Amino acid sequence: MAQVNTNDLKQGMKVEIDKQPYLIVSLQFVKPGKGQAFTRIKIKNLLTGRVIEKSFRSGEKLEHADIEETEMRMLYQDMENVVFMDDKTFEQFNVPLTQVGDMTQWLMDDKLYSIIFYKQQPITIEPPTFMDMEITETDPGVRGDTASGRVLKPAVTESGAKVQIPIFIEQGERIKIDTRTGEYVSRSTS
Amino acid sequence: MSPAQPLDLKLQILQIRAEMLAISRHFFSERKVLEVDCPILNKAINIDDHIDPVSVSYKSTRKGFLHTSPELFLKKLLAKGSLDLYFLGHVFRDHEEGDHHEVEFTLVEWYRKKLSYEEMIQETIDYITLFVQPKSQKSFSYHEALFNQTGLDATEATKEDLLSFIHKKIDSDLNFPLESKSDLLSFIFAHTVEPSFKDEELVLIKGYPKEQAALAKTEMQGKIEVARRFEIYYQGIELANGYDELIGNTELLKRQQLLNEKRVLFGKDPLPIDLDFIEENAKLPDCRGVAVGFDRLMMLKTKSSKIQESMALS
Repeated sequence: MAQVNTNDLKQGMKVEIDKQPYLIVSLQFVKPGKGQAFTRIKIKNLLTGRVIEKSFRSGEKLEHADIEETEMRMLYQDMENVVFMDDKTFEQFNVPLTQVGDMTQWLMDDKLYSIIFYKQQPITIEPPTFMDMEITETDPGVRGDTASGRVLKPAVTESGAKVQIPIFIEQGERIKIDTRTGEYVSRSTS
Repeated sequence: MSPAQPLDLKLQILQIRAEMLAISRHFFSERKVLEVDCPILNKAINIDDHIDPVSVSYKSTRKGFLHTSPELFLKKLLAKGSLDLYFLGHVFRDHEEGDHHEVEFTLVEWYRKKLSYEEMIQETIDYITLFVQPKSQKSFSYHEALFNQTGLDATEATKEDLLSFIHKKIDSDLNFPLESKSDLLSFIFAHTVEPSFKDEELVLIKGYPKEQAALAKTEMQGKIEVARRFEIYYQGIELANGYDELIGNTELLKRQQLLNEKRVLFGKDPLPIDLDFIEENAKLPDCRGVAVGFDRLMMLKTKSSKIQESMALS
């Protein structure tokens, strides 16, 4: 397996530690004036979602995680699986809902997702960073509410995601969402 | 935006740097401290177990090092009877790269014969506060700061105590097969004490463990031998490192050899010992010296989160 020097680690890299795949969330170079240099990283376990912090001596080597990403189109979901299709080979592929975890809230038919494979097994999926979707549930915006400083209201989208939207957006409108944060970006332009 | 924007930003940075450089030079000339333009390329440099020089080859067969600080050159001049001196320029430390580190950076380092240790600390604070205005100031001994944050006694704690603390509080499976007790103390200090410094506070730490004396004198504080070395932090970032300078050559040679042995232990190349420096150090006048990270100071002044934002990088 390919190795990476701790000096060359970057945010977003995927490394393997204690036989578990991790995503590097953030990193910090720690070097006391007269002390040894360390790289302190915050990492997310790609199997469990747990975030931990670890320190490595500068110059130590870590293993790249055996991770592959493939872009696939979602066909449909049933009670147990989400079914994707490779646009090039037309091969169909099942990802168990249990592996999809929190990402189920971003599932929509006919959209392209990144399927993350660890040692050839699908472990999670990544939705597009920005997604356009319809608001299926929200209370009508009340005029005058802005005076109390309230500018956002809860809403549910067609994919089932619970999001906060500006009070002027009504049920049935389409909005653009940043799936990394779950935040409203704008009204859909398309 | 227009393609000219990045250039404009770089020009702005360089303008702030130029102003800070001018203010610094004025500060030292007012105090009759002479600027020395030190050579960057040297045959030998100061030896440190955890600071790696950038080595270079030149004239086909010669090997040299880019200085990691101007310390040796300045001390040799002081030993020859010079005035008080300062250097303001670039130094290089290999492998150091992060939000607060860059391999090439600007250091301001100065030496004072007439100031006492306490006056030197005050002068350093006076210099730093030309650029940043902390709301308050705190002072701790190394032992106090460590004890307050961790309950550990820097002198009494054994290597096993420190390791057990690291495993419980910092990282459960980090091992230190080669490290000394002093290395573990540094690790704990950097991971627990330094992050605890409050944002608006200027923090002064004095009395480092004698193993971390580097080129500072040591003294007995009660029954504990500590280094007459201080550091100044602001917003949790180390800005200054100062010594009551060690005089003489036997102890100096012993320390430099010890540091080289540690380098070898860690799988690093030993560095040539500058014998001129060792010899001249016997004639070093009683003096205090300090080094301040200029880019970090600028980073704090401009409220940047990364040191690179205050540099004109190529």
